Amino acid sequence: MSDESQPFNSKDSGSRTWRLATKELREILRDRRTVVTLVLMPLLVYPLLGVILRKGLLNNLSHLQKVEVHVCLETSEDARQFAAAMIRGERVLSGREEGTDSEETAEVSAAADVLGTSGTQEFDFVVFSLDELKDGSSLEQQVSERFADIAVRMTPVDGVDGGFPRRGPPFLKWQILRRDGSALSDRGYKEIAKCLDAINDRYVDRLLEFNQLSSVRPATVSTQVLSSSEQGSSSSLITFIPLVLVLMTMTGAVYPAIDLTAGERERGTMEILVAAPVSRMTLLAGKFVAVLTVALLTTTMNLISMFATLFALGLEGTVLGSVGPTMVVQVIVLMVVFAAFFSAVLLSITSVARSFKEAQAYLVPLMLISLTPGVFSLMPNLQINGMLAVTPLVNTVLMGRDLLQGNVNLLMFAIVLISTALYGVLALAVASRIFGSDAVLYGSGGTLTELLKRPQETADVASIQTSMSCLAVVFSLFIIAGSIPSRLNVSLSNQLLAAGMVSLFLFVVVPACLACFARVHLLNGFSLRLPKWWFWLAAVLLGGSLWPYIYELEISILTDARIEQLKQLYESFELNLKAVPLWVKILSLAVAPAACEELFFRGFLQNSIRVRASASMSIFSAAVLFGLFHVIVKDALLFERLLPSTLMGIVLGIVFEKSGSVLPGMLLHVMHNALLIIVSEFESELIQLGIGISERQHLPASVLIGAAVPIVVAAILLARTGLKRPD
Amino acid sequence: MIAIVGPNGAGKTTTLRMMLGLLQPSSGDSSIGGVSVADNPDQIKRLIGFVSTSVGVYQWLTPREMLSFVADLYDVSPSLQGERIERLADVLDFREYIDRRCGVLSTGQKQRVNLARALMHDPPVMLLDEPTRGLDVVGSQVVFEYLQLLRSQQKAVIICTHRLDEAERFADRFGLLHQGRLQHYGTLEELQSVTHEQTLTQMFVNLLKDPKGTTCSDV
Repeated sequence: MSDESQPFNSKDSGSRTWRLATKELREILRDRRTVVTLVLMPLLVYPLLGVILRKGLLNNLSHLQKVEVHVCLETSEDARQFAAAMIRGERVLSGREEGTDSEETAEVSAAADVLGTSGTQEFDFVVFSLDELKDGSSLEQQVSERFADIAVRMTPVDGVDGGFPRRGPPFLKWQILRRDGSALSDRGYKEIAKCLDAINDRYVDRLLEFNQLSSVRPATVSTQVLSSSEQGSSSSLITFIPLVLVLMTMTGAVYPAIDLTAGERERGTMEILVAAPVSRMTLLAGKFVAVLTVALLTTTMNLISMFATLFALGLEGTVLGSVGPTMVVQVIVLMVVFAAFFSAVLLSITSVARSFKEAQAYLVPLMLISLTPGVFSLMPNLQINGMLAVTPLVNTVLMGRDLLQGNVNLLMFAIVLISTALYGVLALAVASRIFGSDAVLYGSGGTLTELLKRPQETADVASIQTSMSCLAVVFSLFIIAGSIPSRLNVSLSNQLLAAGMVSLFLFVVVPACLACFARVHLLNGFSLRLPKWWFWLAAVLLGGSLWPYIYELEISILTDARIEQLKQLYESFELNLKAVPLWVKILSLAVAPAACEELFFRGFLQNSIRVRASASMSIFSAAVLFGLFHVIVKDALLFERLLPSTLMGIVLGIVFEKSGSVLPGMLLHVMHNALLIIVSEFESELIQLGIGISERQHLPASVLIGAAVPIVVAAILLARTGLKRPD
Repeated sequence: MIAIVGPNGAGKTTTLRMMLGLLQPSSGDSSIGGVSVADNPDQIKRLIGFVSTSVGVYQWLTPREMLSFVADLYDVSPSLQGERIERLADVLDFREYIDRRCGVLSTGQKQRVNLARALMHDPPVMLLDEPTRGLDVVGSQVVFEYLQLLRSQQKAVIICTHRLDEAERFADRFGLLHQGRLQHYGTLEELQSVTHEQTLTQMFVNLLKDPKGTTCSDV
């Protein structure tokens, strides 16, 4: 009688999640309220904003709705010539009937002398000259440092009879300097070029009238494009864009998030879901995918509408830096990660609510809090740093600003992405605890405090939710606390010891506290148990013999240019490692990090992942996380460390998986690190033997072959037990 | 077919929710065919169809979409889904509005969809929680026909109600629940001999007067 299908396994849970998500999406997208926020809002908001922007940006100083362009010249005589030429050009362009040449010249000179500015129909040229400034700067500096939008260098044209025709314009070579990526500069240049063309054309016409032709025009034009010296201040308006994007993404996600959780409960359909043999996590995953999809659709609509408005109003150069494919991809990635994060946060909050009304009551404060990052993004001189990069929302807004200005720090970008993604995981983990639970379904309690309630029962191994939440917390603290030791005003030895303490705090104290909170048995939760004796042996063998291979791998990845870069980087750290006693180095760089990292990555993380995943999957994911943590070093991303560290993580993961204990891995890791330190300590001695990282010399083949023997023995020892775990 | 009867707040709904594994009982367990709720909540959920008037429908889905969504939740293969939806549409007579969205259906029509929903995975055991509450005569009639259908399909049915006349009409055995305890359990004849009363109504009235009556074994 019962259903013939098999109990589902993890393999089809992906397609199942997707099927659940399609139902949710169908439900959301048929609702007109969603369509309004999704399509109509962006279509109306941006053109409106655009019109306001345009007014604010282009017409802020002029009553006559003219654009002000600052022009710099070398001397005040040049400035006068420029102004005169513009007036002359404007006259020709407007087709005004002129008086005699002398009247015209007099009139033009008078205008140029009196006003100091000259203008055409659309532009006001504010003219100033270097000799007025008397600060010894060049025209190029004036333009690239944004004091002037355009500079003009005028030189007399040689070999032309200056008095021909007698009272015509002077013959000059105009070198026009403009700034790349500035719309104002570009448009001003076009206007100047138009005026000069007009003057030249009219001159030719005149000569034709007199049957006199010369090969030289009064104004010979050449241009030079300068790049801006200070990127990042292209426009203060740019700071609004990420804020608006973030807010619009939020608006898109709010309604579906409420509808799919509190709404579902209010309509009584939640009981259908909880009565079905589907885990809460799967249900939640389906809802998450649906909310994320809607949030992304909203973001996409917003981006399209925003860029369309900018391009339609011709503001793209003024508001944005140079738009390239990399920037577009980065913005998209940032917005996807942010949308995922915010969808998860929304779901976790709305899961607590029992009705639409309650959910809205919870979300209003959240939205208000979310507005505060706007304040940060409006501070033009605020640079993103480690602390800000791990502060949710603020990091996205600031990174969005930097991205749009084409002024991005890759390390910070990576940190922002990783921390935001981890916070999303954290929020989902919290949501899965509460979503559809009886406290919310039937209880009277079920408020926000439910989210932080400790579980009733103790557990041997941390749940995947606990360990992922822990990972999020550890990562943020890793970024913040990681730089503390080097900022301490103490000797290098003490700094290194402080770094060891930080490792202890990050990878042991923090996870242990969270594990206690989640009532995880500490010894089992961190896999602190005695392994069989041969695992110690295998660990010693591997710990002593892996380093030549990791070394070979590292020098084969590094290019000469990169080594040079790294040398400079290390010099900038001003580390004088030679002065530090060897035991301090071994304690703080080998023992402390290795032992602490093993406890966290293998004992805690891999152990927890293993409950839900296969052996190879748990080894691999813990190893990649391990590798990623090693990529971020101080203020740089050392990508070449990813592969060796991940491979090392895989070896350590295998040892952990086979032995079921964190201890052999610790020994292996400590030995490995210590050997590498000892090798570098005696580098000068080794160089004489032909070994050295700076020389990128390969190890002798005999060393490599010699190291292979213990590895093979260790592999045999590890294989001896098969894939069995104590639990 | 067992009827659990009792006044409001006696714990009827809570009992059903515990049987379905939605609530953790403070003590005790229930099992279907040897499968325990505490040990195998997911397997139990596959064996149970749950009907309640408090269960809603998805406003923006059509009955057809909603039924196939529920079938997905229970891992019913797509070919079987279509077949079952067709059959249930005939039996419960909702073919006429099967492709209209649920938000525009009347209460009675929604109830039919809801009844069909509980049968999508063809469970051997049905739990019905006050299935006629808030329904008019025609609506109640639909539920009665549904109960006949379940009986003809030889399903085990546990129905919670405070409508004693309905219970007497359908059930084979009765459980009288009061203040969270099962006071009497058995067939009508057995109950009559224990309580010396003729009708359920009378037994019920006595129960309310004397809450500390004889306590029977757990379900």
